[in-house]
Amino acid sequence: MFINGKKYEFNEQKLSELIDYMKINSKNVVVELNGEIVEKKNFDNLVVNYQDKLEIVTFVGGG
Amino acid sequence: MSIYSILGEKTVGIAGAGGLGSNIATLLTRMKVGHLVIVDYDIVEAVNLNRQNYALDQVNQKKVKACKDVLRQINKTIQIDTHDLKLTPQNIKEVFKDVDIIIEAFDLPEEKVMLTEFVLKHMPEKILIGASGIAGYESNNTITTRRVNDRFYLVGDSKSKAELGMYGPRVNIVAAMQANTAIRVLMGEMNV
Repeated sequence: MFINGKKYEFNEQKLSELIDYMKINSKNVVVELNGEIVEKKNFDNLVVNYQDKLEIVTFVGGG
Repeated sequence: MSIYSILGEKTVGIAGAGGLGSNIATLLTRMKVGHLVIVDYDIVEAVNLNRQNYALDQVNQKKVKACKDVLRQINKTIQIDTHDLKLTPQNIKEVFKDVDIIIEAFDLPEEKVMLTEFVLKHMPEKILIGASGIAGYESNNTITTRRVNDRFYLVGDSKSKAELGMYGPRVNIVAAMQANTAIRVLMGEMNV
């Protein structure tokens, strides 16, 4: 799958597991799956697979 | 057509008038962008002066008032609308209904997420320019502009949190990169 434009060889898994695996705090992210925003309540039941294109945008404080 | 006559017809919304927003608003005013919509609910504090475009005699004023006063010293004719309120999913659409571009210039990550999700999901005609990772005095060169999708740009290093300290130079770099991204988009150049 592609994450932020980079190719990864991850197996099919839940989006929440993938985010945990990448050590990202899921609270402050915006996720786009194949061009559609994914709501946080769906992180646990949405499965991503090898052909998906994900954008995971991480927000940290300061502005 | 000159750049100023093109920009004079455009409207930009700025969500937050702190370190990023006060400097972005100043740059866009110098570029004579015809209409700015500036939103903030905070007041100017003395500790803000290390990075925000305010002056000592503006401490304790509402940021939207102080910001407009600064901009009026630069340009008397552009339209400047200010909103002294907290942006929420209930009011974002109404406040920014007329803008071509929304610039996210919030401080708190949860507010950044809220605005970004809302605009990408519910305002498909708007361009969004956000920021993440602007703190400290880390290298200039870790800061990038990323085009996340057709209409969402993100400036910053995505890492440096406010806890590192918020300092003028790096905040200004990001503010200027967001402002220049806005100018490019308004001029029809969509690439980063």
